[in-house]
Amino acid sequence: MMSLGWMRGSVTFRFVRSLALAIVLLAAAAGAVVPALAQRNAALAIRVVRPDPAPVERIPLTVIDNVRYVSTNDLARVFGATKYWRPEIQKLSLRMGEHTLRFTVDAPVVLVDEGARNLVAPVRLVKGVVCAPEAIVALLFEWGVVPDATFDEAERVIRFRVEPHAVRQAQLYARNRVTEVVASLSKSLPARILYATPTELRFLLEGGTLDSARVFSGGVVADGWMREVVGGVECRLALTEAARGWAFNISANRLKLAVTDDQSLVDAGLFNALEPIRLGGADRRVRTIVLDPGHGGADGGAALPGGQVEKDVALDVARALRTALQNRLGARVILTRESDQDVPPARRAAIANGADADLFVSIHLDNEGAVRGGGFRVLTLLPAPSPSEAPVAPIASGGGDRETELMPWRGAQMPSAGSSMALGQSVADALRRVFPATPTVIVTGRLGILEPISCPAIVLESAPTARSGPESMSPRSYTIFDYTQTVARAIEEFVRRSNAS
Amino acid sequence: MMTGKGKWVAVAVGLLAATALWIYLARGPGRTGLTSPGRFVPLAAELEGIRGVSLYYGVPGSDSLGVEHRDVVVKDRPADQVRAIYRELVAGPSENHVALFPEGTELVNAYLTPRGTLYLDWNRTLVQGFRGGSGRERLLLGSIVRTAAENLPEVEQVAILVDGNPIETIGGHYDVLAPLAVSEWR
Repeated sequence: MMSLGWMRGSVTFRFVRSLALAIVLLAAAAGAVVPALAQRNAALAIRVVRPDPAPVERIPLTVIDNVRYVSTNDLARVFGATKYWRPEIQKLSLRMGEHTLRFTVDAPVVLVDEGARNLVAPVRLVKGVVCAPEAIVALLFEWGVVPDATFDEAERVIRFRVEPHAVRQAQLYARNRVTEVVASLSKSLPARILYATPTELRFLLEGGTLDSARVFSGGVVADGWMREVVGGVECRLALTEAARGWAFNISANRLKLAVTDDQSLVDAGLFNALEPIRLGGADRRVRTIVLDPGHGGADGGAALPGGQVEKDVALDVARALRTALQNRLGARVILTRESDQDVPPARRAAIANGADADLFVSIHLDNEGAVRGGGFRVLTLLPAPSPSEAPVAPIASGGGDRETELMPWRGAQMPSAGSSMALGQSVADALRRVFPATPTVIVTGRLGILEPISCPAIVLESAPTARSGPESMSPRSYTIFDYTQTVARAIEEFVRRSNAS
Repeated sequence: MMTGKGKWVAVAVGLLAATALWIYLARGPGRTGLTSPGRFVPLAAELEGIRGVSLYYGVPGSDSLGVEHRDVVVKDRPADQVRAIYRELVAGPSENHVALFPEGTELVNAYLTPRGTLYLDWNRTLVQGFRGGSGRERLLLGSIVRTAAENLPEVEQVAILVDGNPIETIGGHYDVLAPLAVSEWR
């Protein structure tokens, strides 16, 4: 057996000991430096700034042989490119809009739309990802491959361009007896006064975008707002009792809505008179209201808690609302269906228009989204003509012999769209007052139920929360009776204001 | 006993070994990753590629849409890309979002006209399998239109077809007989 003393004294032992010491010392040094280097590399990144509200993205850079590289995966993500990879020849293509970039691993060039461009350093394959020298980012902009952004090379920031908002810097000014809402426009926009009643004024700038939502009050405006909605920018002003007239001016770069409490300005023709929504015939009597319980027959509608279906509860609600409206208004109230039967949308419209209805209310239920567990939606037709009214050409049918089906009374609602919005707003306001803990949302859209109706028309949607159910303790709960009484009272008040003049 | 020369040899060998280690660590595993596909999976066909897409799904307890970003395999032709994007959309959300398409819905065909109208031809399940109120129907249409708007900038309106024919409505609330303008569903 060899003694340790002999080992300690041998040349080999001393050599191994020195070698181990050197390795340990240098490994320790490397251990200290490499993470620091890695950290420095990790801090290297290109920032990508998009229009709000998208968060700032980062494209991390990798240093290989003292050259900074960017992953083509990141380039594809940021610029919305499609990647094509041919592993057998180590080539990657990026399709960016109309342009194609072709990279070959280990080649210091890139083909841009068939033209070779120098990258100085070679393209690398790192962990299966093709990486290009960082210079490619600046070159993409130089070559005009990315038209909708700019690159600040010094700051390493890609900034996607922000399309300027069409409506900016909306303000309210109360000057003597005239209150004005003014805003700057970056382009000409079609404007539509939806309604201008003694209590409320509302307009829509079709297709516009707004820099930020605004809230107004002052002068004869009790409160109001301007915000982006489906179809454009909408402004609603609730007016004080003093308001008498309004005037609206719009040019290519400015809009001005003025409201006055000075009757002499109205009499002089400088302002339009604020007038109530006109309901009923010449005598302004509301004689007929049509209620439309949604769905029916094979079309059950939404599935509701407790195994109920929308079509059945909608009929219950419609019957209760009929009773409430008859009691309050003494009007004839017609239901589009009295039982569980299939009624096509065109037939529902025919019933309403054939009865010369003064008001139309379609009753629906839902238990999803914002109204889940209790809540209301009030829906009205989008008060702007569709930009795509052209009939659908059935090109996908494989033959040109199938004609587009014509809808009766299509577009009949458009003249009443403003009145419908006023009615919907009144009902929504009433629901919010009576059920403050229950969310009430107003929605506009291309509603097929309402489009053929030729009188003020809304869709009312509620979530089923009968107090006998498991949600009986919820503050959102309400009964069909409470709900229909509130709606009937709101409609009665709306009709009364209409008859006031 | 080790000589002075031997000691220097040992230190030199140690330095060489450490330098080799240093170079390996500093250069990273780039040269050794050739066989590791990682996130980017090579594909067989020349005209197949991977594209990052934005897909819209319902947000639970809300009337709004949320976006998910995915990589999908797409072919070169625009119509094939449309099909790939919508098949991924119909496959459903992967995060905490709500699926909006009825189960069994399939995109049968897609056409994109030079004037920017995207025709999406679905199977009948889209209508027959739909169970929901106006909120879900609105979200479903919003999901279809916004997915087109986000991924296909040339699309200005989306026409919904079922078995090759125009339809009045999916769930009985919204009119889809006329194409849906992208500008109205931002």
